Order: sequence, then structure tokens, then C-alpha cells
Amino acid sequence: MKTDKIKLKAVGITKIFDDGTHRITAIQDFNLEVRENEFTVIVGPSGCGKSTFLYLVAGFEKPTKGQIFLDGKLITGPGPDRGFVFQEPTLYPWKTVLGNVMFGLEIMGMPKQEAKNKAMKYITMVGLKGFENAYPHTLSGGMKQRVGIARALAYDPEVLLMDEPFGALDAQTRKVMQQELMRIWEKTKKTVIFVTHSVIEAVYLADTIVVMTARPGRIKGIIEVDLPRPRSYTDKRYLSIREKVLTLLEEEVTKSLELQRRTD
Amino acid sequence: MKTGIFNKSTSRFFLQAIIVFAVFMSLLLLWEAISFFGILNPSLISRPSEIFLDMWKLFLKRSPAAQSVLLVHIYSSLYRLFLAFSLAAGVGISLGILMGYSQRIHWFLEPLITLAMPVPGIAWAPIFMIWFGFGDPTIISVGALAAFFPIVYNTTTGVRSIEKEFIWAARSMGADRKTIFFKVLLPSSAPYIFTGFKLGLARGWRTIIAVEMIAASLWGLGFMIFDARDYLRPSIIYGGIIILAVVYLFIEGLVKLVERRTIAKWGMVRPEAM
Amino acid sequence: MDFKVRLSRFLRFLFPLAVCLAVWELLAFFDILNPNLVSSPSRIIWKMYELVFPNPILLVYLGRSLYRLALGYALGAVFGISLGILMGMNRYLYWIASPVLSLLISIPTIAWVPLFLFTVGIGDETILLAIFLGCFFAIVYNTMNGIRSIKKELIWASQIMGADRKIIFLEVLLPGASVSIITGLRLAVGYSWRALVGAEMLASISGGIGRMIYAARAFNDVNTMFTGLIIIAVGGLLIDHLVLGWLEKKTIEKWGMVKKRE
Repeated sequence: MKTDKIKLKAVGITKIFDDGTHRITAIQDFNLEVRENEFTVIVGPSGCGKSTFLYLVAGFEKPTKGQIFLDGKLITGPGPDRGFVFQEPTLYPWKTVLGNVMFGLEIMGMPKQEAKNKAMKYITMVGLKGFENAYPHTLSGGMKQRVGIARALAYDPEVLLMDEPFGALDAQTRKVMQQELMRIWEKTKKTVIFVTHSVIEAVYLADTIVVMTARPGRIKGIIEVDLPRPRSYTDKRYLSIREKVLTLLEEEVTKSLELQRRTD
Repeated sequence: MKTGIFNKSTSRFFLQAIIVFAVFMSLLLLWEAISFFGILNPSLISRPSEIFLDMWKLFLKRSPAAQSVLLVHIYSSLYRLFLAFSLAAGVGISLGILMGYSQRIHWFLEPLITLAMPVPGIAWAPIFMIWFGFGDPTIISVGALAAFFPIVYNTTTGVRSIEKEFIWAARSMGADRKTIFFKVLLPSSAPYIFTGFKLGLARGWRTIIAVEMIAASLWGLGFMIFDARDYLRPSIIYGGIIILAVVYLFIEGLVKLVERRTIAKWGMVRPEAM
Repeated sequence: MDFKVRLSRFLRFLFPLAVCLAVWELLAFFDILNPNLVSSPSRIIWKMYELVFPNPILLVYLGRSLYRLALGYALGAVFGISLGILMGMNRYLYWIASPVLSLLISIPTIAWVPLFLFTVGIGDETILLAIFLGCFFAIVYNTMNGIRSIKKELIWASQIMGADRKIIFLEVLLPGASVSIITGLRLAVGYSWRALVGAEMLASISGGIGRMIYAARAFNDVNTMFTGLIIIAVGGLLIDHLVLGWLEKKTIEKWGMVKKRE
């Protein structure tokens, strides 16, 4: 299970967006440590900058202040030591399922046959064997996200970053995907940072839940979830932790709604 | 949050405008300078100052009816465009609505339109010249024909692509056919009709300029440009081309204004390719 | 698609045309419309025959026009796509070049022809230049927009997998802009026909379909004019359907980036 080795460390992160007309402080003085093999879930009200934090870790955006280290190395831009699963399944429409999953391996320069075998392993892992030659537009939303996960895992990154990956799915599919993700994670034991606004999802998945405040995003509280897996959505301890997270969040959700009303 | 007129994005816009203007002006200056030193053959490539002066002279020159020659050229082309477009819009919209309404009419006319639409307007000009001779009747009717196709095509598509629910909703509220036509069908196909207008206007304009070159007798921008070739006056050709661009941008601006006042307000503008 | 379905669709397409041709023929036959002014299908077909046998002048003209078209179009496509990609990728180039482009794009291609007549003279060069300009702007504009409208997440997704600029360009930007590029290429087919016909009328010394139509005016030869019109209509339709329709089917349609055409 998780070790005590610090895998990822964010120090004093502040991110300000300024497009000339609007100036928004998305995150302020944000500090976080993520241990190796840990499944961390960040929850917060909408617009609290939780996705922004993930973008900073990915290197898509640069922090206004502060630094993020992965294995002690400063993050300066995107790179294959991280894998990213987007909220909208960001697959390449012109590549087949196999082509999408192989893409990272090809970039690494892996020989074609080897890359193909490895990609197939992950396609099988996410339960899409038989669909490897399909084009993304023929797949359902849940299947697309499975491809997205396989693609991010295939080139074996150190950390997997997931930005509300199930947010666009219907409730049924979402539940199945949560269970699937757990199954896959048990197999790979990746360090995962997962962003969501669903408390149910957070408590089901996480080793550690980071609750964020409304904008500007800060850490409101950190809750360790010690339940054995697979977890049950109705278990008593599950419910009591859910209660705890909800109480922490409720205040912030109200604040964020007020914030929205003011900016509207 | 910052407010005020001079926030970053507007100042960025001004910056862009200034840079573009500066680049443009320095190109003109460069052009002027190398022509001045005789590097470019002046009988082929006019100097910017010469173009401007010749246009100015043409503007001051009086036609037999004592009007500015340049303005009469511009006016003639615009007048033809206006007539051709009105004709095309009237026929195009009526026929388009009919084709959208009736499956049978659509079935009958669609192949004809598919086949005739891609034919360039100018290709019709010689035939029309046999029918109508030189001058306005030929230019206007060929322009109208060119503008007609995109209008009828888009109107048909608009009427046919209306969502059934819109009509059901109106009918369930007790609307009769007339009400449905004016209050539901027309507004909901308005964006398509508008796209047709835009394309038709562009096609009509191009075609009219082209036909003016071969079928105009005295006036029009196309005639002016083509005629200048005979008198070995490249500056008039250059000037004419610039005026064509400016006049068209003006027309386009007018269309955008109308669009903002109507379908943009309803959030119904359709994206399009150029 | 099933052969039978195709055939019946084709016949459904053909039938209205056949009716119109029959009506036209009858009107001309009974002199209700003067056949010397409006011609008639049988006269046009006879004319076509005369223009091919024994001396295949029509085919020579068509060949010449197609050659000009292909060359001008190819030049326009190569330069247009290249410049469009550059303008789409480089913000500064976009800043400077896009206002110039929108000014130039609003000038009818035919307006350049007198200028080319002046500078490069009557003949093939002028026609080629006109065709080139006719398709160049549409291709630049659409390519540029295609590149600029690629979602940044698609680029990010490749960057995080370690893609360098070359891979991003070849594997993400180029296919990502393909819908727009093909739209541009498709529009440009129409524009280049238009430029071809116009320029041939004004500047051809050695044949071509446009020239043929224009020259027929001197003899009030309506039959030849209609022959030219039909060739232009069918030729344009065929190029659009066969060449670009094929390209579309092999790429963006297969990838689900556009809806299948009916």
C-alpha cells in the first residue's frame, strides 16, 4: 500500500489569472504533500481552483507563485512522468483506440510491436478488448474515458492526474467507472491525484481527501480514509466519513454560490 | 476586478491596430521608395502616391452629367448589385420556402439547383449577352442568377431543418397555419436565410464586377479597371482594386450590423467557412 | 451502399432533369422559344458531337482548362496550406497578416486579371495566377482557422506524453485542422473554376472552355455556349464528388469529425 515516501510536493502555490479585464485568484498559498502510491482526492465547490491545481501539476499552466516538485524535481512543463485524464475525454478522433493508447509509447520511441503489445495490455485492463480498432466517435462516453485512462497509464507515468474524469457521465455509468477505476488502481498502484466535486466519489476512492475552500482555493481540511477496499456506499463508517466531508464542504458551497451570484 | 475603458484587452486591440497600420504604412513607403529610385518598372507597377493622385483626379473629374466620374463608377456597380440582389432574394426566398414546405417541389428542383449552383456566374454572361445585349439588363440578370442559388439553397435547408417540436408546440397552443408560418417558420429559418443573403451578396458582387468587364458599356468598377488596361494606366487598376476591397468591406460591415440587430440578438448566428 | 439503392437514388436525381430537358426540347421544336436564342438539348448534343468528331477540339480545350486548373489549384493548395499553418501557429504572424488577408479576400479574383494582363501579359501565366489567387485565400483562411480552433487540451494531452514540436505538428495540429483544411480545399474547387472561366474569357490566347464560350458570342453560337456551361457544371460536380468526396470519406468522415453526407 502507500509508503511514507513523498512523491509530490506543492509549496506556497498561488495562481492568478489575468486576461486584462478580469483578475481572478484561483488558488492562494496552497501546500500539499502526496505520498507514493497514495490515492488523493481533492474535493471542493465548483470554481475553487481544484482543476487549476491539477493543471499546474501537469505543467499546462505555470504558478504565479510557489513551486511543485515531483520526486524532488521541480516541475517546469508537461512531461511523460505524469499522466493526465481530462474531464472531457480528450481522445484524438483520427486515431483508433489502439492508436490513442499507443501514442505515448510511440513518442517514447518504443518499437512498434512492443508498443502495440503494451497498449493491448492496458486496453484489456480497462475492459475494451475487441474495440482496439474502433474510432473514438463510435464509443460511448464511459468507453471513451476508459480509453483515456488506458492512454494515461500505458506509458507508465509516476503520477496519474485525473480531472473530474467521470463528471460528464450519467449516474449509472459513473458508479461502474468508480468500481473499475479501483480495480485498475489495485493492479497498478499508481500515485493518483483525482479531482471531483462529488463527495460520494471522493470517499469511495480516496486514501486521503483534501477539502478545498471556495475561491481563492485554500486547504480547508485533510481527511484520511482508512476503510478497506472494495468499499460499500452504504457502510456505516463510509457514511460517517461522508458526513464529515460534507460538513466541511457545506460552508464553502454556500460561499461559492454567493460568489457566483455577485459575479453574475 | 478592474474596470474602465482602457483595460488590457482594449489596449491590446489598439496595439494590434497600430502595429498593423505601421507595417502597412512602412510597406507602402518601401514600395514608394523603390519605385522612386526607378527599381520597379513604372509602366507596370505604379507608386502609391501616383495611385492616390490618379484616384483623386478621377474623383474630381466630371461626367457628362456633371457628376464625379469615380463616384458614378462606384454608384453604377452598387446600383446593379442592389437590383440583382433584391431580385435574387425575392425569388430565392419564395422558391426556397416552397421547396422547404413541399417534398414534391423539393424533389423536382433539387437536382437542377445542385447542377446549376456550382457554375460560375460569369459563364452565363455570353448567353445573356445574346439575349439582352450589352449593359445593365445582362449585368443585373447574371448577377441575380449568381446570387439566387445560395439564397434558395440556404432558405430550403432552413425551412427543412426546423425542429418538429417548434411546430407542435405552436400547434398545441392553437396557432393556425398563417401564425405558424410567420411566427415560427420564418424566424427559425432566419439564420439560414441570412447565411444565404451573405453568400448571395458576395457572389452577386463578384459576378457583377466580372460581367462588367465584358458586358458594360460605360460605367461600373469592373469596367473602369478593365478599361484602364487599354489606356495603359496601371494606377487606375491598382486604385480600382483597392476601391473594390474597401467598398466590399463596407457592404460586409453593413451586413454585420443588420446581423447584430437581428439574429445575433436571438443567439442564432451560424458559424461558417469562408 | 447497396447497388439498387444507389441506382434508384440516381434515377430519382435524373428524372426531373429529364423532364426539364424534354420540355425545353418541345418548346424549341414548336418554335415557342426561338431555338437560335435558347438552343435545345438535341442541338447541344449535336454540337458536342461536332466538337469531338472528327476534330476533338472540345477535348483539347477541356484538357487545356483542366491542366491550368490542376496546376493553379495545386500551387494554391501547397502555398495556402503552408501559410495557413504558419499563421495559425504563430500569433505575431497572425496579428500582422490576418487584417491584410481579410482585405485581400474581399477583392474579387477577376479584378486582378487586368493587372496581370498588364504585368505578365496575355496567356497562360495570367490564367494560372488568377486560379492560384482564387483558391489561395480560401485555403489560407480555412487552414489558419482550423489550426487556431484546435482545443488546447488536445495539444496538452500530447505534450504531457512528451511530444516535441514535430510530433505535435504532424500528429495533432495537422489532423486536427483537417476538417477546416478540407472545407477550404472544397470551396477552392469552386473558386478556381470561377477564376478559370473568367480569366480564360479575358486572357486566353490558346483555347480553354471559358475562351470557347466567350468566342462563340461572335457567331451567336448558343449551342457551343450551352455545351461549355454543361461541361463546367458536370466537371465541377465530378471533381467535388469524386476527388474531394473521396478524400473526405478516407479522413474526417471515418474519424467522425463530420457527419456523413447523404
